[in-house]
Amino acid sequence: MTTAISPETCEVKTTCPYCGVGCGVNARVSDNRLIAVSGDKHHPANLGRLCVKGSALHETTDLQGRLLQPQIKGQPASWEQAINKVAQWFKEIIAEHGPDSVALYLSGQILTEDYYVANKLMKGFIGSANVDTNSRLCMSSAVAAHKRAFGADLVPGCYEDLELTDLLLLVGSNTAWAHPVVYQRIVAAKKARPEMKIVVIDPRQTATCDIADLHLSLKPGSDGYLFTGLLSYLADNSALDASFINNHTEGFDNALLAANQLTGSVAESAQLCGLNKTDLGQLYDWFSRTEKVVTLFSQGINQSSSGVDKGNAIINCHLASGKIGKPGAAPFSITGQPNAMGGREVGGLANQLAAHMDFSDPANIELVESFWEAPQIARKEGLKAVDMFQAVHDGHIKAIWIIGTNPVVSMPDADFVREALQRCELVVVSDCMEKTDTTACADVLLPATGWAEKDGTVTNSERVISRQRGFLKPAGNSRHDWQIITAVARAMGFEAGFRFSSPGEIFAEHAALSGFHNNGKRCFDISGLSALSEREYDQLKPVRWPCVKGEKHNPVRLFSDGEFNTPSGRARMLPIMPAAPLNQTSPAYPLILNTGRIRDQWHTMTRTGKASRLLNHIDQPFVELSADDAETYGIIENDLVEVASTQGRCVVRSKIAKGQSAGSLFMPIHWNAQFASQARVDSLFASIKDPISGQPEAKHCPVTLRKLNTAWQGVLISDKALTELPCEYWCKVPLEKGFRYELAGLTLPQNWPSWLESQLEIGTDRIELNSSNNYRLACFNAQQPQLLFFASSDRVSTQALPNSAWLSKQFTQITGTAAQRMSLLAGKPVDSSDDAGAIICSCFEVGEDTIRRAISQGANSTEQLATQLKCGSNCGSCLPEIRALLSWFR
Amino acid sequence: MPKADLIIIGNGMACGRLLDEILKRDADRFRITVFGAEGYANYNRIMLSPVLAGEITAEQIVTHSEQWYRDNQITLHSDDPVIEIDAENRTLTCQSGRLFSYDALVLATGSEPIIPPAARNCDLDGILSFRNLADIDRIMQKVSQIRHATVVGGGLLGLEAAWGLRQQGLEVTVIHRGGWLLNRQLDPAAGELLKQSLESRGIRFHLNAEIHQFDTNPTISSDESSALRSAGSKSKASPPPKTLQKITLSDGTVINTGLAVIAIGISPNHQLAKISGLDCDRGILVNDRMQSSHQNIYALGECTQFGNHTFGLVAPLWDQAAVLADQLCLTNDSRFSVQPCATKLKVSGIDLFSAGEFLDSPETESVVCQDSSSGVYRKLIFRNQVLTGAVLYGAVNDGNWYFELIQQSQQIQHLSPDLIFGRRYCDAELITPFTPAGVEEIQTSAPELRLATGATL
Repeated sequence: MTTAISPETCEVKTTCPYCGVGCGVNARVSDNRLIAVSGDKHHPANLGRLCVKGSALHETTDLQGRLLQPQIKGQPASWEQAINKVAQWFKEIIAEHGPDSVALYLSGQILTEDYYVANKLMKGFIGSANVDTNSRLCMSSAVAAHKRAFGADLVPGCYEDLELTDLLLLVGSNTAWAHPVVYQRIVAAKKARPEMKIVVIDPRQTATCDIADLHLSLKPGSDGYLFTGLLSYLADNSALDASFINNHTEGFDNALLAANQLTGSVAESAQLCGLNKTDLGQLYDWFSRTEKVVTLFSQGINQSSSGVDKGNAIINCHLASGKIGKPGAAPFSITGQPNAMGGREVGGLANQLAAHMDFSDPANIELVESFWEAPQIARKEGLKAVDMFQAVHDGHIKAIWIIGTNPVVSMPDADFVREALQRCELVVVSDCMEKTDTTACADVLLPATGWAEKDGTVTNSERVISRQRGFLKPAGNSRHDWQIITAVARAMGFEAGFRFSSPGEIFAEHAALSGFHNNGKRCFDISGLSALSEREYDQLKPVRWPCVKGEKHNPVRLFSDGEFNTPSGRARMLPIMPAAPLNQTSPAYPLILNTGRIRDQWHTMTRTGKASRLLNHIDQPFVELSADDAETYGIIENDLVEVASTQGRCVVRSKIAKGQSAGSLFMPIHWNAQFASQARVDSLFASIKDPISGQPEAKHCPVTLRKLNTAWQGVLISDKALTELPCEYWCKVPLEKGFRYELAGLTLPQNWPSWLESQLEIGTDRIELNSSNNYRLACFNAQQPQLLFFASSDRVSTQALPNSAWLSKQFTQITGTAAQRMSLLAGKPVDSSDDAGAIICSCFEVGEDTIRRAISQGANSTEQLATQLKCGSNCGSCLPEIRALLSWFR
Repeated sequence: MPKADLIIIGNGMACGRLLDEILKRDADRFRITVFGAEGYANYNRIMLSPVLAGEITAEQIVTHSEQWYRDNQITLHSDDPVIEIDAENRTLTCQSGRLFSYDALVLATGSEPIIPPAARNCDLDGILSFRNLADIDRIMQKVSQIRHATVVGGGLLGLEAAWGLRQQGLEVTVIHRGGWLLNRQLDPAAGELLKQSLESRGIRFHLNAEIHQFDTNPTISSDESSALRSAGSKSKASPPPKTLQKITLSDGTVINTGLAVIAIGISPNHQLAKISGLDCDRGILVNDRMQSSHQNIYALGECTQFGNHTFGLVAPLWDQAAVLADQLCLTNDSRFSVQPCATKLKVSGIDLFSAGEFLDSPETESVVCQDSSSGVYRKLIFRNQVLTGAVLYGAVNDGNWYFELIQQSQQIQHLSPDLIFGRRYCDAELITPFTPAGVEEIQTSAPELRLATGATL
């Protein structure tokens, strides 16, 4: 799908690599460079829209920081060496300790084809199901809830339902920031049909609340009560769809019985949720009276110690009222990652086998075994993420291969994960970036291609498979993940299963497996795509599954006929006994920490961190707190604060937010050791997880808060990236050129120049300011700023530190004149239109430029100049120079 | 009605300014006679160093030519010094024996260079001062005969002389008692910058140095001995007697040099006043009307002592001249007072500014800004949050503003560090406008800023 724009420029249709919305992107490419991006008008997900992150994609494809060469134990190696080493190492460990002593940890950001070969290698050829993915951290509760209710991991609706619905519940989702294009579609729909009601259910008042008719700021983690309460309310208010319940569901009575136990009345529910009865009653009333209801839920539901139950509590309500399988009516789980769905389809989770088959049915195992001609098929579930890293820590897993993800940042109890990797016998990491918190733990580093180079498919939250097309050459010596994985597989002796020469071949096999002995048993069937030619695969337009071979009318919505994928064909309603979060507050940790994304960053910032404009919105890690808590803890806006839990501590900036309830805090998930001294929020979380899905409870962590009394604050801008700065707080902000570091310390260094010199080389061409409470330094090379440093321990001065944005801009400017250098050190611009120039008359500070202006305006004698400017009228020493200026003009 | 006789003894810059002030007020009031010791008309003494450097000619620094005196009917005696004043009879006697009577007499006899007190053999040929055009003539005569000159004194005058001599192509060494250059105006850091700058232009320095003695006996070094041999071959019989050939410092260092320019300071020239019975201390004592102890005798300029003050900078002299002109012309009963001074200097093209305190102390806090490339150095000193001093080196913009702020004595340390970058970087509203007491009087009778400027007179 490449269109030539000019002889040098072409436009390639591809898919955005960020969130689960899966927007189509037109990439304009010239001379192996991505020069611009725009939204694809023809893609069903975005219809031409792009969010701010997507719009900045072309700013993230430079090679800075890329891993370009394989490394073994920190030394550059050839691909042959690296592949053989990994293969041999794995083989030896497997030979000695068995297949379960090795593991793969994958990512919702690799492509379906990468996922497929990784899953096949591990489950079919190595013979262990120890393959899990970071989707465990965001999606697995929804997967489990879907499987329990529908018999398979199926998302019933599509994005259009969000526009067609009359009541939209946004639960545990800051859609505005986490899924901006879906949010834009909702905003547009609401604008077109103002009668459409939107309810946000979130402890925080987020940007998403801007369009809400009702915001229910419930108690953190109490969502389960809200939905069991809703089920009771529906039953009490004749709002059930009796015929749907009778014909298409099972387990209703038990579900209602369970719901009535704790939340039999609105009053009880309201109390458990910390809401007022009227507001909650309003939601219940709307839900019961509205036919078309969509409940869009995300991490606020999934990342919970009872996330699966919460998912089922939501689904119960839709089943009980028949609000499913119809336009504008569905429970709708929205995914966080661009290809979490693709990974789920492939079966890349430890509790899945392949192609929506799991280990519960021996027939499935046989089916896959025969399809793969697998020499050693795994027969039981493997270890899920949290348990997997626990096993690494315990030494049961001796080799782990991490592909395209950063668990040292993103896993709960992240310091424990780091420790696990540090003590692991073999850690292989495939990544496109060289320096991440995880690559720092690797024995072997394998350079993978990045978005823009990779070629394959992804599936978004509405079951649409889209091509991600490579339009740049692989950077340096990097290779595609599928190439690396198949090469290792072959080197391990599994030639037969891994003779793929293109992603199209892999996709065809994946599609064929989905249809293999399917006969309508498995909803995930894309056999219609199994016979694509290379050219057809290359030209593939976005296509929604199911896509069954020979089937002309593949459904857009699932369950329209009331048929589900359970053995009975009925949807299961589950008796849900909601539970509060496991980890509760205590006197030592009295506050609840919630986490989430911010608008302009993606995950651990390895890519979005490259686009300086994406840091204009929010540039430093922060904790949001209510004004009440701020007062209690003596904190003001932008203070440096410590957030500590039983597991760890973070040091971030304070943000006092209206939308934050007292007792609740919020921190973004993005910052990590590459970007800040101590802001890895996951290091605070204990490994508490849902017993069914294994998904960690990342939205609820008891913490304590403390203001840090900083002795100084500073900002440093350098053209080189620095590592570990010796101060309590640092935060890296990439700029168009160079990096800005925001700094703060608890003790004042004795001598600033030597403090700096311990970190970097300071040039001799410099301008410097030194006082008891301020130090400033600007270094230059050929008039180009190389280093700017401002530190202040001043608590009184209103201008202790200059405006960082202005400084950052100056960093790219030529700074030639003494006045420009002075302005740089002053940290602010100065109007130079009335510059005096070199001082001629010292007594009255009259400069050459001022005198020239006066002469050109008519002054033609020293006397006139003296009258006008006073120059030369005191000691007279400058009169010869003034006369010279006068004669020059004549 | 016949004009009153006004006699001015001394024809330096103070006299020139007084004449201007009188003519401006009442050109017909006096018949004026001026006695000058130098055979020149009135010139700008501050400009001696560019003349020495060869940048400009002596004619170019003349402020009042002989023709100007004639045009204004002022009688100028340049070759007949006054040797005695008879205050009782209002007459004075010249060296030639001529007698003049006066109605009003102004002593503007200037100052004398100080000789190094502890040094021996200060009377050798080749030891010169640097105070007037005649000194420059004498120095220039030496310049052609020697390769190396020494300047004694690292104050402004000494540095200007050193720079002038360097531009004449000589090797130049400066001997300075202080720990750093211009130690009356600059802090050590600025002094060091100035030293480095001048060193890069070929001037060498001995700081913390005292002269033990001047000597005629050269220490043989290849350079100087060959110079000496060639000199000796010309006049073998009688080598020039008592000519300076080396300087020994108190630490034993020996400098072979053919010229020593003494510039370690000045003292008021009050000899004539003293022998004539006027009250003198270090200088001629004057009151705030510039009157001496005797009626109708006034004194002006560097020869005066007002209270405890003696003078070496130009701005207070301008004030004195204005006050004295008012007194003589009866235009105004204005009074002289000593105003705080900011020092503005230009040494070999480098602008310097100093006002108020310039040294750090335990009670002060300072802000320093330094640019390695442009050589700009700035220091502000605060005491109890109040700006009490400023030293600017290299770029002196805002010097007057700092001077104003120092006078205002407001607590403005919170404006630091913006303050050091100058007025344009500071929010002007944060600083209350300056309304000095007695503003009207100052506006009518004096320039709004009092600045002492470059060069001792």
